[in-house]
Amino acid sequence: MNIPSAPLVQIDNVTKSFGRSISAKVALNDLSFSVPAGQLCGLLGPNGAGKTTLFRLLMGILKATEGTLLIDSLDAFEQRVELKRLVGFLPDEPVFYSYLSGREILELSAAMHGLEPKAAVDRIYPLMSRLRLAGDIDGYAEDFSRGMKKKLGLLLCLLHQPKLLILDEPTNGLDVESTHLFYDLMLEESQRGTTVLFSTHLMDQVAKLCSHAVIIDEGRLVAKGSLTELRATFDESDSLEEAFLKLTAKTPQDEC
Amino acid sequence: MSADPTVSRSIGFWRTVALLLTAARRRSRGRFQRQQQLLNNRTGSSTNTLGALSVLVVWALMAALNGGAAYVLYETVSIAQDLETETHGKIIVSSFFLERLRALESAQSEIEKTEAQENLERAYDIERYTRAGEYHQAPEQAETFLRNAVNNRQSSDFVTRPSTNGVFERLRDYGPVPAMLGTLVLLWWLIMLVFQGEGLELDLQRRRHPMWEWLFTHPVKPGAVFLAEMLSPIAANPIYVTAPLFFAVLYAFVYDVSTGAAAMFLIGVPVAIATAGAGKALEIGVILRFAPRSRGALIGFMTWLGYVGMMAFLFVAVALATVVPTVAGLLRPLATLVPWPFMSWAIGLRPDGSLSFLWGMLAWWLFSAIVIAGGVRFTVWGAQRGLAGATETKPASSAKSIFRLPLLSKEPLYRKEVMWFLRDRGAIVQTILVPATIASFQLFNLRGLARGVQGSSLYLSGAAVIFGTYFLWILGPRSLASEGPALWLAQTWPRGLEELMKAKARLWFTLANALVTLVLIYALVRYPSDWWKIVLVGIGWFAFGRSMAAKSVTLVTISSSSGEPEPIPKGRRWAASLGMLTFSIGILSHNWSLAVVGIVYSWLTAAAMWENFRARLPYLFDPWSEKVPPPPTLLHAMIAISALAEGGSVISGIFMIVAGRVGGLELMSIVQAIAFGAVAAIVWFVTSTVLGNRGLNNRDVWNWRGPQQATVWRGRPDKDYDKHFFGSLAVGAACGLVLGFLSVGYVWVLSRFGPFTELFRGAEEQAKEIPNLVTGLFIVGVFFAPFAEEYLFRGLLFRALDRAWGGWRALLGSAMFFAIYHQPASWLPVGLVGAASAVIFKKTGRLTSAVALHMVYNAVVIGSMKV
Repeated sequence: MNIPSAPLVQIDNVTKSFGRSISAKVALNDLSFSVPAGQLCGLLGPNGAGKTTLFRLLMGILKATEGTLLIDSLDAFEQRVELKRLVGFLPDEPVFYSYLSGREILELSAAMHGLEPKAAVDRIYPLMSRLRLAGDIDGYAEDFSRGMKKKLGLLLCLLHQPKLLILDEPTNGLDVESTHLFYDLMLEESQRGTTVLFSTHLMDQVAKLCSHAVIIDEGRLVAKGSLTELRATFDESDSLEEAFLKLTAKTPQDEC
Repeated sequence: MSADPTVSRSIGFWRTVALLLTAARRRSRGRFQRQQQLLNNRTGSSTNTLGALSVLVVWALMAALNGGAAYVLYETVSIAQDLETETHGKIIVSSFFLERLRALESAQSEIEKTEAQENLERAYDIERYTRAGEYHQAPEQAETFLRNAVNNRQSSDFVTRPSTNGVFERLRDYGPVPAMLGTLVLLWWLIMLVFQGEGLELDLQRRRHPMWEWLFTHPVKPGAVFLAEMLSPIAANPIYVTAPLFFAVLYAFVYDVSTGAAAMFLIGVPVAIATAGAGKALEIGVILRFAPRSRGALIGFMTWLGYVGMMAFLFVAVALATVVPTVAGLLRPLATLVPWPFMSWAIGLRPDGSLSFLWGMLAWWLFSAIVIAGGVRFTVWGAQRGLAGATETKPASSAKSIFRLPLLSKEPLYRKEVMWFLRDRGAIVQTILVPATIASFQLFNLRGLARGVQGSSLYLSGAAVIFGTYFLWILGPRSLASEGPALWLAQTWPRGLEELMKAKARLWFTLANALVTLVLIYALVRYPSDWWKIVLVGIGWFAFGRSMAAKSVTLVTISSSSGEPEPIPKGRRWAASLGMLTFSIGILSHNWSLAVVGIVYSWLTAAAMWENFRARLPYLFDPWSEKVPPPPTLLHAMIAISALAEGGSVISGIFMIVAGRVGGLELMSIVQAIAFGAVAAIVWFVTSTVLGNRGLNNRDVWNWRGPQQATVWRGRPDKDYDKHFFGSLAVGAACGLVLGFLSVGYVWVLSRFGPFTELFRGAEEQAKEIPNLVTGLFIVGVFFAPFAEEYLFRGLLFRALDRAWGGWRALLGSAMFFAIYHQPASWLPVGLVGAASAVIFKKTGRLTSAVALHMVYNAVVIGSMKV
């Protein structure tokens, strides 16, 4: 494998367990992979594979039990505050202040990033219109529908023009039109040089968007590489969907 | 109908209720277990016994509250009856007194009369105290009143108090006022009970309950779901389970103990269920019916009502004798305006004046049925309107967003908080109403402290300070209320949670400042001549309040994902209150040095709590990974220092009593010195064992190797460190010598000034009477104290403070903390010694050099004393 540029995200032997040693629940188990700068990388895995835990580790909300996570050579936990300048994060289900309107949340977030609030919101206005959020932006964000909240969350991610976007199930709960809009935006960001790491449990999303993917299951790395490499591991006749199913397949005895 | 167990079918109403209640109980037990697990994870030990004990205490307290409420009802009616009797010209005396009075009246012969008069005289001696106690008079005043009454009236004007049972039986005989007051107490208890809910730590930011929507996807009746929800407070809050005790006590007063026992089950249980259900029904209705930003305020207000009702019972119970006459005087016009039959119904007093348990029971059953039906109706009304969705979608002030207003501060965190105040009606309840109420209760609690300064400027300003202090203590833990589940957003900003919490501390301090300043300004207007005292209090408050705000925000806990708040550990809550009382007493008693002690103590506690908080904060969402800060921590140092100070005085006290018995006065000072040495050795042994277990051995405390020493030795500290042992000792000793002579000079200068001349002469006179005092002081000061105090104040405290604050603040803080353990007159030289020792320790990296300084200093100072 030849990596075109230095890795922006470097994950080395990361293990995360919750609880005390014996009865601990292991969410991630000795996971290692890296994402080169500028790549649009899909993190693929079935429910409960550890995708959200990995993202929370990258955001410094949790601390790895073992191993290191580096973003642009900064430690994801120890240097979590400086890191936030470089990272935009969209959680699976964003929740907002009940007493602020969408615009006010954007302004607050911009101010917290040290930007001039009005200028930052004006800059992002075309995107807001494309997402069809401009009309509702002055309503209370708490009363937004799930899809609108996701859109507002995406705008928040892009306010400070980060180097890395971490998107947790970005299109979960969006309608078809919005889903495609999200895809377009992710591709555009990637073309602009932003590294995008997003999680999904749907193979066709990865096939549509990415050149590279990482597949995890039960906290372990199952496969990683470019899509062609992943395809080559299996029969040429297999679709990616089938390959994914084979990789994450378990016999009933495995579950205990 | 098919009975196929694999086919979904609707389960019965009561089965649904039972299922959901079981789930509620499991949830509350699971929550408790999780807290225990987390606590065990943190401390590494099992603390189940303590947890069980605190549960027991809560149950006992709730039982006492409910039983006590019935007693308050009885006392209120009884006092009101006395009041009515005396208002109508009768005088209440004990039957003993009345007997003797009648005996005097009916006495025929002179001999009989003399004897009866003597008996009555003796009765006066008892009666005057009884009356004085009941009417809050001086005994002399009460006696004068009684003598006048005996001289001017007939014995028929004197009556005795009804027996315990008679109070309720003769309720109607005393007019409407006792019945009115009784009814009010009864209503008060019921309202308090209705609004108890699941306790004060209720999550006021609650969103629409997501569980209901899920529950309604099952083939169950909505009524069953709501009924189970209405009954759930009974499972969660012991106040409802113990509520029937109210009727046990009340009916024991009215009838007898066995009737009381019957009432507990037959009346108490339905009323407890009805009140618990009514409170929950109101809550459900509010959640379903009102927009999110009003919801918090309404639920918060309900919780507040419950809390105030409960606390008021505790406070009124101790002051009934003064409260009842005042309230009776105020409400007397109401007594005849409306009928007050409820009190009679509540105890089963029939119109013909006879008592019937059955009547009482039926009245309460009717009451319970009405309350439950009303609750269900309200819930259904809420559900019909509420599930349609919230009404308010656009902020009223959307045009003028606060982020563009030119405010005092550009800090976005403050602006966000202002928006919270303006838009969320719950904010006022959370940050002003609840903390202000609790602070007022505390103020009432501590009123005894202020008795000495009543009517002076200190009374007002002291009250302001105590209020502000408790206000912050309660407000701090609510610091994340305006974040709620949106806290994740704060974690995408390059600012960090620590900065967020510091901003909150500053904001709360500003809020408390505003309230305190208002009162101080009022004090200034009322007592302009005391302006300098009020200004001093203001300065003290400013220094103290800031530390209080810093401490109290460390008490925050976050809600779990389902919205259940985690309780604050009791030890942490207590630690945050350290220094509060010392400071308040200092202000109120005009003892400025004590106030300074409170301020310094509070600041050091704040540093210790922040050290812990800083270590804990990154793991707010990951408590399983939480780690304790590295030793020696400030907490270690402060506990060890307190142990030396407290233990020292206790043990040397014991030693001195023994020495006084055995060897007389001669030995006293020497024994005291040895006792100090023994305590210091014990404290050192325990502390070093604890630190050793945490991986810090003694050598590492005495030798502090770090980069800061390089500048002193002009070389690599690692390499040259061992060479400079004697050099560092000499530097320390030289510093001690200089400081010692400075201190002797300071005392000489000070003793030339008026008030100090007397002080020093007095101390000298006293010292002369104790033999061997200087020898004893010399032993302690030169051989024991330098080791113990340097180990604790420099080796542990300064080193930890240097890590937490760094620079001159650590130096000043540790020196002041060292000084406050000495006489106020010697704060200045002792503080200098503390600062010098700290500098020497840091620069040489050796505690021995600080010990040398301390030894030489003490030798010079004690050696200069006149024997």
